[in-house]
Parts: sequence; C-alpha cells; structure tokens
Amino acid sequence: MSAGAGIPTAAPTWLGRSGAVARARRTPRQSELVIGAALLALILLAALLAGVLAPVDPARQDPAQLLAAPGTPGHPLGTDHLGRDVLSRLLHGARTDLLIGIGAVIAPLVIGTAVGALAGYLGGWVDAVVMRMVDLVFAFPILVLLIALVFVLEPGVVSILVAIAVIDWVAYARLTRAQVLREKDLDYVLAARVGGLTHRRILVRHVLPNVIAQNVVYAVSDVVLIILAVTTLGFLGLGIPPPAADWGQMIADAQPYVGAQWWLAVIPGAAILITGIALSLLGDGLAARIERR
Amino acid sequence: MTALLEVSGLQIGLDTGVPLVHDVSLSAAPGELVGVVGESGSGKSLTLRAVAGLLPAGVRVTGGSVRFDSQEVLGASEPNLRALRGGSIGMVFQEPMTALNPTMRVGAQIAEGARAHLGLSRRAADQRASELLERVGIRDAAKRSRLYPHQLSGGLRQRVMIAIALAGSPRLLLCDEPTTALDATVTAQVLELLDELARDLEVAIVLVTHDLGVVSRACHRVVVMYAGRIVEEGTTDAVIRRPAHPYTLALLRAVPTRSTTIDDLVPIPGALPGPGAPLDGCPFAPRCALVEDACRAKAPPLIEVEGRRTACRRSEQLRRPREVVLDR
Repeated sequence: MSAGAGIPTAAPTWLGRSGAVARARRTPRQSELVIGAALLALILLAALLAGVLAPVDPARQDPAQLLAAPGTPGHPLGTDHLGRDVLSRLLHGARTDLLIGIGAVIAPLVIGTAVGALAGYLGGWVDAVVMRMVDLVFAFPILVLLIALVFVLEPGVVSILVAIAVIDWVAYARLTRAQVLREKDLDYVLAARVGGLTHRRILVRHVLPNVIAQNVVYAVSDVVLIILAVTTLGFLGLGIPPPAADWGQMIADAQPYVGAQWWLAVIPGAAILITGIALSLLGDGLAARIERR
Repeated sequence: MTALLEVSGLQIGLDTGVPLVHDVSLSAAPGELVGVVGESGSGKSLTLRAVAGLLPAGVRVTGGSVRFDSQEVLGASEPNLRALRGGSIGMVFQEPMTALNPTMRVGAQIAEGARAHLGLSRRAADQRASELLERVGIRDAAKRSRLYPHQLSGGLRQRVMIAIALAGSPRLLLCDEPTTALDATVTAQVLELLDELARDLEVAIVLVTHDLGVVSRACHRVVVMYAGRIVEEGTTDAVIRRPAHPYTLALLRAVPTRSTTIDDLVPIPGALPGPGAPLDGCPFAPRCALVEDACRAKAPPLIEVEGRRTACRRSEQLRRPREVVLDR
C-alpha cells in the first residue's frame, strides 16, 4: 500500500470479505480436505491391496540379492540386508501401521469422550477425580510412558493397543470436558433441562452431538501421532514382532546401512511422512469445515 | 381467579453472600399474561430462572418461596422438578438460534418433550410435533418438522421454540425476552401467538422483557423491577397510563413511539447501583428527580396507590404532564 495506507477503507474491505476474499480463503482450506482425503484413500487402497500389489511375499528372503539398489529387475525399490523385497515390505507395512494407527485411536476416542463428557457435565468430585488422573498421565512424556507400558506388557499388537488406550484417552477427556463445560450452560441445554429431560438424555442426545465433531477431527490427526509412536516402538525393537512388516522396523533394520544404502531408511521414512501429511491435511480440512458451520 | 404461580418474598444471591434479588413477589393466574420489565441487571431474568430452577452456578435462592399450583418448587427433588419442568412449566428463551439444538431436526426436539411427559409413542409424538408446529402458526408443518434450526428464519425458530415449550402441555409458560432478537413484524406475530395461547389453552404466561412497548401490547399485568426489587406493580393500563413510580415514568419517557422525535426521548441519568452496593434508602434515589432526604434514609415499602402497588413515597407528587400512550 502507498499513500492511502492510513485511511480507513472500511467499506471495500468489508465488501471484499463477504465476496472475493472469503472465497479465496475458503478454497485452500477446501483443497486441504480434498488433497488429504485423496492421498489417504490412495494409501489405504495400497494397504488393502498389499497382497495383490506386492511383487513377492514380504518375508521371503532372497540370499542372491542382498541390499539390491532400487531399479533392480524384480525389485523396483531394491532389497534389504536379508534380501527381502522393499516394495512388498512397504505395502504390507502400510497395512500393519494404518490398521494399528486407526484401530488404536478408537478406544481412546470412545473412552476419553465418555469420561470427559461425564466429568464436564457432572462437575464436582467426578470432575476432580477424572482431571487429576488426566494430569497424572500428562505429567509424563507420552513416549516414555508408552515405551515403559509396552515393555512391561511384553511387545505385541495387543500390548501396543492397550498401552495407547491407557495413555491417549486423557487427550480426548480433556478436549471433551472443555467443550461440554462450554456447551452445558448454553440456552439449548437449559431448554432441554426446562423440557424436563433426564440428564442422560440431555448429555447423549443434546450435548454430545455438538462436541463430537471436534473429537473426530482430533482423532484423525491423532492417527499420525500413533503411527509415529508405533514406528518409534518398532525402531526400538518393541514394535510388531517380526516377520510382520512395519515401517519403524524397516528404518531400524536400515540403520547400519544409512551410509551406503540410504534408501532403505529413506523409503519407509517417506512413507511415514506422506501418510502423516495426508492425515494432517484431512484433519485440518475437517476442522475448517466445522469452524465454518 | 386463583394464582397458578405464586412467588413470594423471593431472595436470590451469590454464594458469596452478595444479594441480587430482594423480596420479589408476583403471581400469575391461568390465562393471564404477566410482564416483568426492567433494564439489564434488574434481576428480572434471574427471578424467572429461579422459578424454573435454572439458576447459573454460583447463584442461589436465599429466601422466600415459589409455589406452583400450591406446591413448593424450591428445594424439590430432581425427579419432581423434572416432572414439573416441561410437563407443567415450559420456557421460551431469548435467542432462538442458541436455544435450539443445531444437530437435531426441529420436529424431533418437539417430539422429545412430548414423549417424555405425555408418554406418547414415537409416531404419536411426531404427530403431536406437527400439530404443535401448526398451532404456533407454521404452515407445511409436516415438511418443516424435518428441517434443522439453521434452515429456518428467526421468526420461525422462535415459533419452534414456543412449540418445544408447549410439547408437554404445560400450564405455565416462562418467556425470557422472547421478542428481543426479533424484528418488529415478527415481534407482533409472536406476541399475538402468546395472547392466543393464554386465551385458548388457559396457559399462564410470565413474560420478561426490557421493552415496555411489548408489555403494553401483550400483558394484562405488569411488574416493574429495579435493582433487584419490585418498584411498581399493577394492571398494565394503570401502570402504563398513569405510572406511580418515577422509574416507571422515566422508562416510559425513554420509549420511542410513532409520534416521538429524538428530542422527546429522555434518557435516565446515572446507572443502576451495582449488586451488593450498600443501599439504605430507595434504590432509585440517586437517579430520581423527586428525591428528598427521607427517600435516602429508608427504603420505601410497596404501598397501595390507586389500585396498584408502588415503592414510592412521593407518588402523589409525581408530575404527569401528559398521559403516556404507547403504540399498541
């Protein structure tokens, strides 16, 4: 802006907001949603069709082709130190990690939402007890707690799911409680109360539907965090036991070869990155949609 | 007529002890429309919420009684209260957008109350929802009952709100600023609807508003509140035409009508005393033109003057230059 910078231009700005600017603002948000969803759909499809798409069995070792470079005939992405096909392991790893990521988010989402809603709605000692438990879990670094729990429970898919549920519900509890606290004094909840409805009905039919969308958005982003946590566990040798393919395990296995066969670590790393970006875009896009409503 | 709602000596205060509403008594008979007017902070909405048992956290009733059909409401158990709410008492809120659940179809919100209080089946409740929507003047009710609140206009939303309040066949309707969020035409329609409900269904209606125009058009009786106290109470005709309290008169002078210009409107100087401010005398004394020492010394009790009650010692001296006539 030049000379007119100091002059208030209320009308044009205001007009612009409702017209062109608002549209321009909406479009990138909308594309976040579309790009995120499309990317995730592709990844999910690849994971689902892993059995069909993978050139060979991900666990099959080919002693003649150890540490083959990408582009080797029969191994488009090369092989690892045991001669296993990297593309096949990548696809099957997508299946493992996405399944665990999505599966692991359900229990914390359900438990945390229910507990947080009760705490926010009932208040009093229920709230106090729940929030102290939440504080307790939040007091530890999540990864440290997760590693300790999985270690104690013995590594395996079930332990990972249980450990994540035990730790991750607090995020949803806190989120839900804050929203319920805000919603419960709004007129429509008061109206439901003057309507003589039971507390259970008010909570389930009136309050929860108005807060659940935020939780679902958070859950989408949470899948990224869980996949990262699971791959970290895999990297530390606490993940999915071999021979099942898992991206974290792949990166861990690639560690000695980072200098010469860098792609062994970069390829699964890129897969984690792209999945993370897809889920984050989807989450942001969904959040923007809810805000606009 | 015997009163359906009988509030007597109601006191409301903060948990910390600061009093907010002092010694408020009012009543409403079946078929009667009672207006409660006052500016923001006068305690009118709190009074209404206390009747519905919906005081916000940190605020509680500290004295007096609220009787519904000769039954004490204050301190009633939660199940009793629940049966009373919706079944006997309905409430209409100021802002229909926030008072409707955005995630539920409007028909379902009406049917919900009907099922809870009349024990109707799902289908009968849906039927009743459509009937109620028609009753509050919504055409094409069966179709509109499947819409969500955001798909309706402000006026329609307020009608839906009234239909929800009526779902359990209540005998008392509490309306908290039901027309404040609406434009003039829709306000007129909603007031007409309330009047019809009072007449046809013998519902007692307590209408809280800051708009004397609304009161003069709709209410049979009016209670004027100031700083948590009743300052004047009587039939609408008496109170509006010949106010016997300087505050009522001042309120009337501040209401625009078709024949007033901006210069005719007289603002009330000063502001409402804050809650808990030490008040020995009349709460309106600091802003009153007629004030004398005795007013500041002792709060004047409500006294009977010309067929209404007023809390002014000097109502005889109140200069009434012209009859105040509001647009009806």
